[in-house]
Amino acid sequence: MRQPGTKVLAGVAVTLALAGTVNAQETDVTIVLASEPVSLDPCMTAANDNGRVALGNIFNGLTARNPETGALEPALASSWTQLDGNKWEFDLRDGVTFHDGSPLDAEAVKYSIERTLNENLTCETRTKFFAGGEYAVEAADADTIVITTDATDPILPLKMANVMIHPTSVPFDELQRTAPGTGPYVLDDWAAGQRVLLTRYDGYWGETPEVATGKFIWRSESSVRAAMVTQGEADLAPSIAVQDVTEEYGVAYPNAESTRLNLDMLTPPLDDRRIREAIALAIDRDAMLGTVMSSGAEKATQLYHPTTIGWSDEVTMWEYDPERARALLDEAKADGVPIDAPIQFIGRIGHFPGAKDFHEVIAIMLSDVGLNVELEWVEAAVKNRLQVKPFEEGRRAQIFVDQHDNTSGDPVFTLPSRYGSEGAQSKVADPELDQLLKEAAGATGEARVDAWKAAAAKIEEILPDTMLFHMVGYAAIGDGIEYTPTMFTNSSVQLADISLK
Amino acid sequence: MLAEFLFRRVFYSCIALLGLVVAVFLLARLTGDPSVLYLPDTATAVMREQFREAHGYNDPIVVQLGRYVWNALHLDFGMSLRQNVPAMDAVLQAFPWTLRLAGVTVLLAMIVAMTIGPLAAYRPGSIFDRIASVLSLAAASTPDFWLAILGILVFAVHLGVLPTSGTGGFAYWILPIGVLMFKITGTTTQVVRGSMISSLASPYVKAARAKGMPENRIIFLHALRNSVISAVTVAGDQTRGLINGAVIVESVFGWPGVGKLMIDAITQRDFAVVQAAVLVTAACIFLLNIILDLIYAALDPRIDLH
Repeated sequence: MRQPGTKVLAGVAVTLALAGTVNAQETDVTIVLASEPVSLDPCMTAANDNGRVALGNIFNGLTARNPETGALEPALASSWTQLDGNKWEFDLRDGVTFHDGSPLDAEAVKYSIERTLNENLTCETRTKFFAGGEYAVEAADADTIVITTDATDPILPLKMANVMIHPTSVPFDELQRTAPGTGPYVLDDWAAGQRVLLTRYDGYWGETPEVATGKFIWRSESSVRAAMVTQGEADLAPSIAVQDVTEEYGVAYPNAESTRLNLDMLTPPLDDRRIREAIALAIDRDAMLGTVMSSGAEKATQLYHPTTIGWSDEVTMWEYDPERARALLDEAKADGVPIDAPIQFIGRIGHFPGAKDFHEVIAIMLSDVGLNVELEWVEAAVKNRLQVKPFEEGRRAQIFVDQHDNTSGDPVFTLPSRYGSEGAQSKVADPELDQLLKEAAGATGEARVDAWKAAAAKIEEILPDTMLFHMVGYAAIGDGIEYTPTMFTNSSVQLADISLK
Repeated sequence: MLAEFLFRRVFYSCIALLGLVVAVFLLARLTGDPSVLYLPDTATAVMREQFREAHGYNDPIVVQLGRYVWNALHLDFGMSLRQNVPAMDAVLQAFPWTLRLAGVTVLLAMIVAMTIGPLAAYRPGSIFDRIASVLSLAAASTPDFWLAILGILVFAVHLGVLPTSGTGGFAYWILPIGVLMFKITGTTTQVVRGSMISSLASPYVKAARAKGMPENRIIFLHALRNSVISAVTVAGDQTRGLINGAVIVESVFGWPGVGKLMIDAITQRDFAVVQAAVLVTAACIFLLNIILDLIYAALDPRIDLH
């Protein structure tokens, strides 16, 4: 006898079977990210959420950094020359077309740069890489662009790696959801809240990538992202938490993030250098490695990786010495420093995987040497507001855990904003350091390297913060692809770097 | 009478909606300056000032409110700061996903609760009643987040019979709805059971039994009709929660609903989206309340719509 509901059950079984075969065709890949991009406007690619999808996929700059060596390489510019201290000339690559079919020329490049610098546009690239400075852009001829700066800017070619080039049809004063680029992929579909679909652009100027279609989706939970890779629903999850890493699918990589304790050196008791040194000595970094954080992380002395130019090997790597820390506090107390004054240790909710344990262990270590530390958790907006000028009047002393990624390879994107007296989040006001930072920013070659090293030494002398770690990230990579995550993976997941097995 | 009732409810709902919109507008502004989130830490004070000026945040709050209300009256609810699309478009794109999820979940939960609750109440203290009580209490107490992750691990990772997350065919609905149903079914079952125990002990049930009426008619026709009002109250309350956004379930399963959109907008200080989302969900909840009142009246003739 036929049972009622048999058809329904059969339907469910078929649907479930189909659900188990969600793998895409073999030339397509699915990448699961933690969050959806908010804008694929070429001007907004400096934000990691957007850059992961757009950088190097939809858009190119005049230059690009090699993900393995970090070296600056030609992209839409085939070569560049410094005509004099303030003037750079870029020769454009031949035969490049935008996704809308229009050719790449000097006018389009000029327009792209000027739109990026347009003050009427809330442009992430401008605020991140072009704070201060005047730039005059000129199309010398159809294939040559000349940029003149008000001050010597030796790293202008590096900055140009961040300016995405688009046609002149993109509105100048208005941000767009996206725009035509010159990259190997064109935006095929963006279903808000669900997926972004990129398909291979046949007119791409470079080598044709293997992957035909890249589907970007997002899940906020790391465990879900990891499960999607293990179940074959996704091919790559570029960022997962250490507890979700499996031996078969997990890969560790240096993710360019560095952490520090940002100390409020304007407020007692942290205005006394001995207290700040005691904090540096109170942190047992070796004990944290492999416990509250990955054993793959490395102890840091500066807020950028050793591959960054001007990184100094002469800056002290503080070793755990609680006795010396207590002695410094006693010494300061004897001089009237209020070492019992409460210090707000401010953590950002969901800052990074394992952040809660990370903060709690540090709070315990600081309390252990005799500091009166109170751990408080706030959301990102509150932490950002507290860290940026103007600082709150009448505040208690504050300590923040900062995480910063500098993938540009030059400290100019790290030091002035954090240690220069004009820096948006700097509590340092030291004329000598200001001068060193200014000299370094304008120097070239070996002089630049030495100037940054001198600045690093001066920062150590002032000791406005305690360096912690160069962090590592974890990616889950599926069976069907080959991909090597690099320090750029957090800011750009380039489909052309993925090969199929 | 019905028209008068509807007019009165819609009128009062509109007043409440206006008050809510103004309150949300003002409260959102208290959460701080969006420039600290939208501009990188390298941004200069001048850049932050330009940002505030460009988006009108430097204007007095009364001017901002007046502009918002005036534009809203012209059906312009502002642009999303994050997505650079009209805020209302973003909300209306997400809202149907939540509405469908909520509708199916509540419908299924009601069917299950209205079946198990009366059967458990029929013989209080029986094995079936004890099992139903324990399970419904456990279901009502289970945290969504834990259940969602557990569901993925069991059914997607270990058994491999369901997709982990996302949207698509029938299979993609099973885990999100299953997780959401758990709590609602548990709560509603308990309410129906308690209410049914009272109904079954009432004089009119005894009278029905004395007349020799079959037990299934007594339970599901007479007693259940009186118990269903409390179930509708609970289900209505749960539906309001779901319409506001099943935030956790939407986040875990990558469901593109309004709950996740609203939470993202709040944390990112995307004021226009927050306001549009509150407006739409509040309007929907007001509508739901009117529908519930009509259902009460239909179920219980003693209820006067006046």
